Amino acid sequence: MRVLVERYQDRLVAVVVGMVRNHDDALEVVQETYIKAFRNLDGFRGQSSFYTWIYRIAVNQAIDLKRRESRRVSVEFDEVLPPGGVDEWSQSSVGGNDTFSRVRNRELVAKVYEAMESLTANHRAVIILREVDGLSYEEISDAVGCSLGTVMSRLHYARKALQLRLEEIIGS
Amino acid sequence: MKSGAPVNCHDFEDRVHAFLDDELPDTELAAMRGHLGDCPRCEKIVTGFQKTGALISTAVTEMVTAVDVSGIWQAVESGLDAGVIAAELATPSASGREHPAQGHPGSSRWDSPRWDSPRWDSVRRVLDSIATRVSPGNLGWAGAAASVTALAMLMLLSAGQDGQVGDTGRNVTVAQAAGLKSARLDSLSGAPGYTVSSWVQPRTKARVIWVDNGVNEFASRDARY
Repeated sequence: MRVLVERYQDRLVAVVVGMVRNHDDALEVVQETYIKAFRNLDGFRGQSSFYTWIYRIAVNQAIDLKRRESRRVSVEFDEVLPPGGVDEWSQSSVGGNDTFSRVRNRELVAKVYEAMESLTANHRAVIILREVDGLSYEEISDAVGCSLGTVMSRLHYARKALQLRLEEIIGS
Repeated sequence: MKSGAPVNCHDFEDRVHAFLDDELPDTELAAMRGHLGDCPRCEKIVTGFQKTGALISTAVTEMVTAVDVSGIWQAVESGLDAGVIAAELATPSASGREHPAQGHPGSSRWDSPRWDSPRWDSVRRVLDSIATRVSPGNLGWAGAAASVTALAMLMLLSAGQDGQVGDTGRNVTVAQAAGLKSARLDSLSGAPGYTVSSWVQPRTKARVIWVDNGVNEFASRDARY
């Protein structure tokens, strides 16, 4: 069991952090996901891979948590900064002045998260599974529990909505 | 769109997400690439979506780097153990005590072969974990794990002050538990009549938790009374 936990924990944390935004909440969701999975191994019938099955549990746990705490604004962006704060962080960022080195600035990270939070939990789950974890449509379909067509329409909507909200950062 | 047929802007926009996500068959992929090379407008659409995706990925990755994943396995293991202890406590053995009746103050330690059997390993790990992590008055930690009834009960009780003894029913509140060293529970995970006690050993300052229902006894590792 330990091997399974350690094999997927980084990927799972990335997906859940993308969904719930808060570090502590993300860890709690991931831990509860594994506990739930191991207690219900009988429910895993091998129709999907283990990690899409466990993603499905994680996504549902994260959606439940967001529903329970939908009004909570809890990200602590200072936690992702080095002791020197924003300036040091920006200077130590990879790259120069291109768009994607600037995202390492905490305000930009905040804007990206705010944009993602404008999406429904289901749309957010699909875009994160695709853009962060690189799952195929079929894997996303397994992980989220919806049809391929729904995956495609959610991706289409989420990308359009995010692009609109992030237009200022993306530029021309 | 016909497979391999020339692509116009309308076709391209219809399929741009499948194109970006590498979900198109090779023949359509080639046609899409052909159009992209000739159409600045569609190229701009693709670039915009690619930048959006990269922003999301970078922002999430940045947040993830600050998450400490090193304790996940330990937390999962404890969570699973908590379920085991609840199940074990709810189904006392019909064969009598699993351990000689030494579990009262003044006896030595839990070292019987039966206590060391694999069956009790998970139970003992939970008790050890509680004894190590819970300090007197640390009720916040107890609250965080309240999802598991048996574990929460143990922790609330173990947070009590030494030197006081009391009795209570199943409705142990934080306020009541804070004043208890030992308590009789009407129900612990559905099983009747458990006594849950905790002590801080005077010499080692280690916390010991002891559970007894008159049939089975459980204690944290290296418990000495």
